[in-house]
Amino acid sequence: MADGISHALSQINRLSEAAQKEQTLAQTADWQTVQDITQASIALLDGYSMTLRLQQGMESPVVAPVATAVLLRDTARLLAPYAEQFGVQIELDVSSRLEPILSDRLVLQSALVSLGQVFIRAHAETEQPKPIRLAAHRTRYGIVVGLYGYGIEMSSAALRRARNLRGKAFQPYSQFVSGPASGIFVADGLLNSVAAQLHAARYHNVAGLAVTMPACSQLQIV
Amino acid sequence: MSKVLLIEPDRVLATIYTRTLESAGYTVRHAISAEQAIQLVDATKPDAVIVSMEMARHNGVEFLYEFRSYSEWHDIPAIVLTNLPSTELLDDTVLREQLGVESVLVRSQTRADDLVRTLRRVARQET
Repeated sequence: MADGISHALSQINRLSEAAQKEQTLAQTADWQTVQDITQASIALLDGYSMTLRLQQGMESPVVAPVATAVLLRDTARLLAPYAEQFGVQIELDVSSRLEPILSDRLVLQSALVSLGQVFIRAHAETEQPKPIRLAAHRTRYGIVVGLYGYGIEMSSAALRRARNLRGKAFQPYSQFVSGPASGIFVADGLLNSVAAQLHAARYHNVAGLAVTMPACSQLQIV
Repeated sequence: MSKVLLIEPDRVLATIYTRTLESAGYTVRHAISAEQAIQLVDATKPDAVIVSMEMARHNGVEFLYEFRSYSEWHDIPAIVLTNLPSTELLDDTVLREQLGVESVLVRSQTRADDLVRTLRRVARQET
């Protein structure tokens, strides 16, 4: 986590240095970059502190029906500015007829945003970044909500290996992303605190990381 | 020394480093991965390479071993950018003698200007 934040601060520091050197009040694009990087780091920190509060019982999850399509659209909207900075597109793949899932909306959204940031970084590190896909689909185990995209080693074994290396290696998910992949572990912690588990998944032949949640037949707006 | 190959997976940092190096008079080519870097070295024949140690799939050390395995690239100076503390890096002898690394810069402590200064120092040593 510290490494992730340190990296974001380094980016901001270098941007301000460039602005100072170029004797400008920084280009508008630079300010936008600073804002987007800061916002993403705050979201990551918020996710982490939410995990701690939930794990220590200072807060309890509020489980209620969550409209899957709305959840994914909101997640895509929150991730869009960060994705734009890194030249990565986000695709949404969700049927509006998918039934709601039973979970804590805030926790789930925070987990998806943290995860999304890692996917964006990882995709930006490819020569021609391909879009990442935020998707939900129904399976016999429940509704699978996740992020999919280019990513070798997006297997259960790689995820298990990364979890074992968390806190010990600077690059626990070295086959996927160059940084500390903090977002994956924040998402992991958040989902654990609502009794869910992040797992490797495939959807339309694209690998990704997802969570399976129980479907809820209760009407959301009553 | 005017042509520099910058190997940096972070697009935001790469843009800033490129801007600073170009304003100091260098021609910069940017590679996002070790694979792309090898192709660019072959195509552009840089006078120096700046390589990030942390990259997905093939890291900076893997790049340097591949890079130094070609005799025509033995003498191109390399500067390493890293987030790792020096205690976790490879032995200094390996970096300097086997991989020909001229300087190791810790990213969080290195201003873009420091990069320019290091390049100039390395160029002086070369002449």
